[in-house]
Amino acid sequence: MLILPCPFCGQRDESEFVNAGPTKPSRPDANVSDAEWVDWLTVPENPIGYIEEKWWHAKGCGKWFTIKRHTVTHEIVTADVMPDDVGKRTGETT
Amino acid sequence: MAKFSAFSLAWNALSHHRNWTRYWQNPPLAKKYEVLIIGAGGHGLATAHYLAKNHGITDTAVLEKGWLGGGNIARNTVTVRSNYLRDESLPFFVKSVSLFEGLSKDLNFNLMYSNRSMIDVIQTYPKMREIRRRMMNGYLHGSSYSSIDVAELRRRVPALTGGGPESRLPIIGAMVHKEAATCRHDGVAWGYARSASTRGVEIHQHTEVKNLLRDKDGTIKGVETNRGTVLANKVAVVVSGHTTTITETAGLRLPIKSFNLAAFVSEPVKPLIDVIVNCPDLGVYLNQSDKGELVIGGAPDPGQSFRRDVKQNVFEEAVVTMLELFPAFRRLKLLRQWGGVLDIAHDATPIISATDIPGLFVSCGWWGGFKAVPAGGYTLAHLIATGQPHNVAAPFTLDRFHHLDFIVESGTTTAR
Repeated sequence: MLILPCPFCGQRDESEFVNAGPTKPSRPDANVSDAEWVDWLTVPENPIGYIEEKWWHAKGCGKWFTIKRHTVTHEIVTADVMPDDVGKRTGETT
Repeated sequence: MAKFSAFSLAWNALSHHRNWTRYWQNPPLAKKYEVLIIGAGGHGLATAHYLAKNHGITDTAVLEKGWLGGGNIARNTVTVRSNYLRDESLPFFVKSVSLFEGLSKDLNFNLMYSNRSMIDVIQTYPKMREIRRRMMNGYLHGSSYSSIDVAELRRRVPALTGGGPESRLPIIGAMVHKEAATCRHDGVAWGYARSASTRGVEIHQHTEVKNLLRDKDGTIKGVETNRGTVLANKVAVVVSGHTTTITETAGLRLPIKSFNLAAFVSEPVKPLIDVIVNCPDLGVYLNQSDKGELVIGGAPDPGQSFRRDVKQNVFEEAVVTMLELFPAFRRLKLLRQWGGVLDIAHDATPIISATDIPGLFVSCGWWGGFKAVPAGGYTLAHLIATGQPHNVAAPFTLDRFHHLDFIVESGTTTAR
């Protein structure tokens, strides 16, 4: 069970949150090659190490934020608030 | 190697079973092989077996970081079935079930294969629609899937006393998949290893691959291991959750993520459930082993993970949802739990493919790969030996990502 650092509610139990998957780098420029576009679209980071991922405090304050979490130790190193429009743009589904 | 038979059993009984030969040999590690297979799990060993049996390639070494059969082949819920959705997936899994049915004989190894049907318990109308679609597509490809009503469901699974009309999610119907079976999962690994070793394949345990090595022209040259460099003309990466960890050492990026999927086992009880019960709306599935233990699986941990344990809230959710349908199970004690690292492409369809690096092959994206072990090995061996994908695995190449031609599959066990 993770204890997630909601930037508004503080340390809360994972069961209150929805995992919305890893963050993606910004959309590439429209002139990139097909291969680069496909890479951006389909290839996620999958390290044994820290990944940046989005969480939604669905059963709490309703805010979105990102954390860096270790994929083996589950250690969480940062928590940043996401811009308010992110939730509307990506929806809440994983 | 001695053939297993009633006669050999009786003969060895005379010497108090002290003279059985080893299942596989432990030869020294050579400098070069024709084919290297990374990962001595179900898929890796099956690939080695079919390379030798079907294509006559025996200059093969299987390298394993831990011990043989200690990965996901030891960490599944032993279910074999073919009730998938897509035209691309169904022939592959039908092939896998048919290979499984003849596998004990093929390997001369008793896998305790038990053809016992799977029943999907349906509690929502969207799932009912999806599963009826799978039923109709199954008919086209020879995978049976037939509807039964709630009364028949309760007759066949008497322990299923929850899910009544007053409950949170009343049961509205059920679907029976007759080809579904269970078998001894360790036996699959050991049987393939024994058969491959008999044919001359070398299996090297505790040989961890650190890096893939490439020639100046980019083709694969071999691997760097903790026991030195091993050269090969062809290398197959068959390591489930750690696929990207290995391929990234050669600069190859793959469209997969790794997740933790857990299962647990109850104390043994008397025969109670003689089918495999799957509850897709709740994300829990179970069957009873020959020893009487209930083998229970839940949904995956939603965040990427390389852990092999069980997260408390994932475990609780599986138990709570199971008790909704099987309230009597609240008195059971749970004996063991474990997790495995699975890899999945975002369309949930496996990848058996050559890669951009000549000579390097991958078999990954096995979201619940136990049922696919024979066909996965069979088709990967075909690809390695001939350079061409096998018919039933042809849609599973990496090309589908290059062309954004995804095969979005909903027939995986844990899809909710």
